[in-house]
Amino acid sequence: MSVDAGERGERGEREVPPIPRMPFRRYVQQFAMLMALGLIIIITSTLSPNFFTTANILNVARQIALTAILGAGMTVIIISGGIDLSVGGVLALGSAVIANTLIATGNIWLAVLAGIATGALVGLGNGIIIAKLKIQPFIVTLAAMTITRGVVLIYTNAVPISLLKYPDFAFFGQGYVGPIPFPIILMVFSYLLTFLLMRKTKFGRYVFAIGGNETATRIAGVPVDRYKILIYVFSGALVGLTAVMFTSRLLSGSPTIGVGFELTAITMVILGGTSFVGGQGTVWGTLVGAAILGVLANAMNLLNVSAFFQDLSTGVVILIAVIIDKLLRQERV
Amino acid sequence: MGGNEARDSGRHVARRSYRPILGVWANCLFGVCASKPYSANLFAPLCSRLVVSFRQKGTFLFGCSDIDRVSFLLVQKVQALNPTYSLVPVPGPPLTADRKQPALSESIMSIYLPQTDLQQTETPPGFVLEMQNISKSFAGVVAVDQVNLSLRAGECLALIGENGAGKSTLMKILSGVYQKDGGRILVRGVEANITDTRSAHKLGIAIIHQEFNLVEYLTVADNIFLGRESTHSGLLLNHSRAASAAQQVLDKLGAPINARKMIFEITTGEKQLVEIARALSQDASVLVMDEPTASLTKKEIDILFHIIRTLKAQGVGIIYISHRLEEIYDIADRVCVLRNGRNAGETSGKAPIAEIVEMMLGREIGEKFHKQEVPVGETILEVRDLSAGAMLRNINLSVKQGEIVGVFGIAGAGQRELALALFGLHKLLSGQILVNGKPARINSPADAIRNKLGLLTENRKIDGLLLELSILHNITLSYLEGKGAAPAGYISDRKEKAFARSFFDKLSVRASSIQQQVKHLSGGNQQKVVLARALSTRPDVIILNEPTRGVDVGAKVEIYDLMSQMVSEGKGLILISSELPEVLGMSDRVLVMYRGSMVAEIPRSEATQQLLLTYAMGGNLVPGNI
Repeated sequence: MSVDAGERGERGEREVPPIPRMPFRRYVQQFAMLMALGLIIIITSTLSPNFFTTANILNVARQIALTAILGAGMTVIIISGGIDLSVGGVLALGSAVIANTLIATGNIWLAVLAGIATGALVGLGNGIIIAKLKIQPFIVTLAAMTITRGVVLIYTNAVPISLLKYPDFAFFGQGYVGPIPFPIILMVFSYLLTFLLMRKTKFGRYVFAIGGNETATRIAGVPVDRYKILIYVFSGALVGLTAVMFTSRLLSGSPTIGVGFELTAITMVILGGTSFVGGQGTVWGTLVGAAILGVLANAMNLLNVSAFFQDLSTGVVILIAVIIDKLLRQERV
Repeated sequence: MGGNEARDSGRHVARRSYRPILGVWANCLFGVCASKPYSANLFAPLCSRLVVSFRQKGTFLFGCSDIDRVSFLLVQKVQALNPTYSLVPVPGPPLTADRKQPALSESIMSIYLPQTDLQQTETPPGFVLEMQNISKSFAGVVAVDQVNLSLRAGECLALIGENGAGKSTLMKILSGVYQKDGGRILVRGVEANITDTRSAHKLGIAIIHQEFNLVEYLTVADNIFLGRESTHSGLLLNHSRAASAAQQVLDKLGAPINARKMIFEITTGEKQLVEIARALSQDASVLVMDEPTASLTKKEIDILFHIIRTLKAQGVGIIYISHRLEEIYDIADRVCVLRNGRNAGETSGKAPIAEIVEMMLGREIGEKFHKQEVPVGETILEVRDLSAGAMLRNINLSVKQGEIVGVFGIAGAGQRELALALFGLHKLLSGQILVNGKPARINSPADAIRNKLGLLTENRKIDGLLLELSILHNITLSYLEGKGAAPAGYISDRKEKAFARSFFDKLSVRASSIQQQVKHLSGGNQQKVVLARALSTRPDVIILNEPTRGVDVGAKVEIYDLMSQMVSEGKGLILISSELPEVLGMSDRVLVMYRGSMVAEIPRSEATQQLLLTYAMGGNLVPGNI
């Protein structure tokens, strides 16, 4: 065995460092999804004149904004080598907590805070179990998904909590700043925040490091467990923020919303080219992924495609996307 | 096997509580022995000495030295079941004198037939395997050059050589993992064409690797017959037949394992036996064992050796790769030594240690090392009686300023564990670590770094590098945790880059830019990046685990120069290495590790290759040496 290690090592030795060229294929790979998005937009706009209207564009953007924030948090988790399946459940729980807080206190900001805190707390629980007990994130968050769903049903008796008495609260999901729907602003804010965290802070660096090589990161003296927990808290907080938008948009605490949202979020991340193995990925890619999903849904609505076919075609698009991605990556290895 | 009925009834009886009634007892003795030899300890209180074993063809041999106490009735009972069975007194190891029921593992040992009995089986003449002029090179690097190796049936051949001598390559050629470039292989006198692992299997060649090839969540029986499952008319799996067939194989081997246990339920030693059983169930006539005792306890080794002797008696040829001279002395008939991919010589298994070590080393002249004389200062790090994990026992070690302490050992002697334990990654069972004379609490790498320790890990790709990230980010990974590096978590690109740049330049990492991904760097430059990270926390003591592994000669010299530079700055180094010239060339003192303990401390002036290697192979434990 040792022989091989030696041989391989020696074979790789060249005193001249390889000149790094960004291969054309890498450009294609990086911008493949953006090009796909462009393609979908072009095709749709030729088929349907209604697509390129301001109203429709803003509508699509708002649709995207509502779920895209989930994708930002999920990107961070997946880059760190984890996964979070509890997103949908936490969303519903958050929504119920927001509604009840609002009714109890009448204070909009307290309600917002309660929503974000709910998400962060569930994330904290997930993170602690994942990091300290070293249980696979898939299993932990699967349990959390079921638990949060159960809790919210017990908590609300499965009855939506109407917030019609608090029209001010509608701003987060329905309001506008100038011509721009407020959710879009929140989405841009969340993505910028995530981007800065990933690029400019220790937290982000360690997310990449943990996903790339957890052992090496630990040996380098990084408190890996603490950062793993923080990752889930951060993502949970973003889920809480999404819960605020949904609750505000529906103007009711809805215990059944968010079913399957974890999968939507994961889909965005995959479409965005983030490696499922961890250690690689970008939030902007996820945003593009979210846009593809949103535009695709909108296009099919405009073109009167039946709902059944919508699911089918979304699935096909995902499959084609990951196959192309795989083929583009394969040759480099 | 003849006595299925008897075996079943015996099992039945054995399951009930034991009663000292002779009739039942005899029955029980037979049945138990037939199914599970170790159950013989049931009779330990009755017979002061009891030896049970069995030979080929399923005939059993019972022995009881205290034959008077075993009534004639017993003989009658046994012979009534099968007239070919006989009771013979055999001298065996004594059971515990105080008649306490011995512990299970002890009783396993106590039922062994003495070696003399097994050696009566004649070694069939002729070679079961001949490898002639085997050559193999990888991308122009010769790994194995014109090597000859032959193996008789019933023989145990020890294959030894330093790391990289070509043992593994040779065995991979034999097992069909690699294709030979030249030479030929004869199996039982017929030229064999081994194209893949499957064809090797068909020829009766089985290899047991250090890492077991077993499925954790299947039973022992399922593992033994993996890929050859017995079924009910080809459809459904026949678990009971598999289990009984597997049990037969295990029993024939004398391996005290229940075939219905899951792999994760059994010990490492037992897993080894399951691997052997699997090989035998495929009618292997050549069995290669790659460091089989590396993770076994003393008792498990005894069981393994007994089984090896049984296999030899059954005519199986065994190639035994090991670095432990005491074992070779114990088990091997012949020793074949490889060096630098060539045959270095052959000798008897009982040859003097010096002869074997001489062959391994040859007459090479070591590389030149530019070791600078540096004044040695205060003790910075001291380790007292440290035991940790399953491996490390009573380690003592100290490092002074300006000193390079070499730790030499054959791969797997516990060096890696030592490095990890000092860095808070192995829980300490006992002992103390003192930094600058004060006891230090090191429970995590962060603690170790705080105590001014630095670690260069053994395998840069597995526990060193973040391959996807840039050189810059790899270097600064530890630095970011330091005070003032990233206030409020915010990383200043400019400051970070300047910091990394200083190490990048100091270690002269050759890359097009500091932003380059480390995975595109050569081994030597990758190593410098990991070293840069270890230095970035400004440690006083640096543990270097195999610092030059997989690194070209130029980079090696640079790393040695860096080491000299570090000690001249007053740092202390622990150089863990399995490369003799490196340890001898760079160290002020050498500690030798063997099976998780330090077995010798040798000052630079007295250290020779022969001495170090002899200690590292446990040569001092072989009677009549050193």
